[in-house]
Amino acid sequence: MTNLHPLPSTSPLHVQAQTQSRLAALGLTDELLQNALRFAYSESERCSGNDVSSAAGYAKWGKPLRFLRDHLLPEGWLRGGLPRLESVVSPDGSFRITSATGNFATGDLAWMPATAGLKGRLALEAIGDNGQGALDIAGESREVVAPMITYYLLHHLDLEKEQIRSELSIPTHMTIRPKAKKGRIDEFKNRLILNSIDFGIETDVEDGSEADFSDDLDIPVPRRATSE
Amino acid sequence: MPNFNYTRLEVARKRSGFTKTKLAEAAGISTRSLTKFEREGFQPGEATVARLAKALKFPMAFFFGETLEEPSPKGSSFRAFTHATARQKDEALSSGALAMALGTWVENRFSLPAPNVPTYQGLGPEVAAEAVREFWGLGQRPIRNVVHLLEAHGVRVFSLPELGKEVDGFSVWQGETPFVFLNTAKSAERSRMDAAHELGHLVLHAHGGPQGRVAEDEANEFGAALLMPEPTVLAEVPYGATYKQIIKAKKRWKVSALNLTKRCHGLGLLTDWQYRSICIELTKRGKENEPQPMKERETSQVLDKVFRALKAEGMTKAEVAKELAIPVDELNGSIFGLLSLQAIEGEASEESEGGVSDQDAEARRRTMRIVP
Repeated sequence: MTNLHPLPSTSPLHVQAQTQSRLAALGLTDELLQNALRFAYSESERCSGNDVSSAAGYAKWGKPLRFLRDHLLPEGWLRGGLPRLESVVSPDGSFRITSATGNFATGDLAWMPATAGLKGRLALEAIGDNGQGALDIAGESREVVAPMITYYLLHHLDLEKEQIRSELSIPTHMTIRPKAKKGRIDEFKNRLILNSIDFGIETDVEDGSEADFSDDLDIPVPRRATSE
Repeated sequence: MPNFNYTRLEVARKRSGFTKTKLAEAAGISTRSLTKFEREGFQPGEATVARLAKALKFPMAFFFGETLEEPSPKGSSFRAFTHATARQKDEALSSGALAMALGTWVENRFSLPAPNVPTYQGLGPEVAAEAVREFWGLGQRPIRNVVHLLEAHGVRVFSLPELGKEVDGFSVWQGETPFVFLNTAKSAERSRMDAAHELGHLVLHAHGGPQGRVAEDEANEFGAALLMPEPTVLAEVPYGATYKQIIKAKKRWKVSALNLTKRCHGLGLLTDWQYRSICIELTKRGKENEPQPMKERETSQVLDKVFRALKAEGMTKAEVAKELAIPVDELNGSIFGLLSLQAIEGEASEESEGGVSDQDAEARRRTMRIVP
């Protein structure tokens, strides 16, 4: 079966209210994932016309993982080192998180999203096995027998709404382009929809109103009764 | 006639930036004589004192007053210590001595807040800043006015006559009383940070401790932590903030863009590369060209109230200077940039009646402008 276009999602498995507790069960928070994306999009925004052509896209793909590794490795998470399926792996090796940009349906339970770019063999294996893949830890040779789930941190920059929408979801289907031997992942399950990030400058930092500051001090300076 | 006070000659000489040789030349006496007059036990004649007073532009009466309290170089903290020359330090310290004389004069006539500055030697700057916020009941809110905050807790705040960019300010404990001297020719944001930095020295280094660069770094860290508490910066500034976001966010804490950038970098909100990029953008503008600056600089509430009260009693600054036997310019130097525009304008018009020309008054109004 091939899904050339995003399909309406008829049975979203989780609603927003459940997201936090599901994330917590994975040892994650909405805030951590959002900050990873803020970091990545900020890095991407800094790329100029003089950067190499793929620099901005590379930042959007790679920097969320860098951020997550920075914050999670000290807590016992592992660096998943498959070259074309870079990830961060949970401490017990039961799941890994990788990153991808998604299409407009990302972060919207009314629609089924798809990855914006084409994915290759390893992504397909991850979907196919979805729990049976070998764990390749960088610098270590270690076989993991237990099934491992692959989550995608899927994110999409919506310029019209000035927001970044994202979700942490398990891919279940990829439509292959026969000649390219690559394809877009176009079905996901267990979709954990994250809060959208408004990236308009005006919304990032509130202007301080006078009421927000420390008290206006009135210092008494009375004249002494007698001088000198 | 009271005795000539040799310590005051040295204060006036250093304040005027003279070497002994230069002053001797200007006063038409030998360097050897001048050296003697700056020692105890040698009394110059009245004509010699008059020549010295003329060369130094100090009233003769100044040299016959009581010994001035002087900030001790050992107990003082100089900003940008490594860049200030010995002469600039001498000028700053002697200026501090004259300001302290003004402080004593004021304190004899007005009840000022009792000193209430905690000292936390041995604590790290970040923790000490948090402790001061707790001690003063500030919570995590941005500080509305740092000068008022210091004054409300008994710190005597004075201005340094312009000594160049090399001396940003200094602070000293004189007995139980903390003093802060600020170079008020800086931008409003930098003056706030200078005041917070000096508070850091008072809190962290009251009883000695590190010197030089280490002490300066600690005071910088304290100032940044006091003005930009970690929890609020982490909560309100996004990771990887852009130049524009920094410019917007700096208004939240009334700090310079550069100081907020440094703070964000220190707190891990900016990568090394992002930090460098924003610093480069900022330095293109120049240090003196703060983007979207504060509209008003902070002034002293204590000095403002004192000089308003004196004015209401009919006493001008010239008369205060006369009582202190110091040049009125010295008095102005100690309060430069710390009085509100209304106080300055009222005083300027009074001084024009007392001998200062309207042209001078206008020039002073221009240089004492509130909006940088």
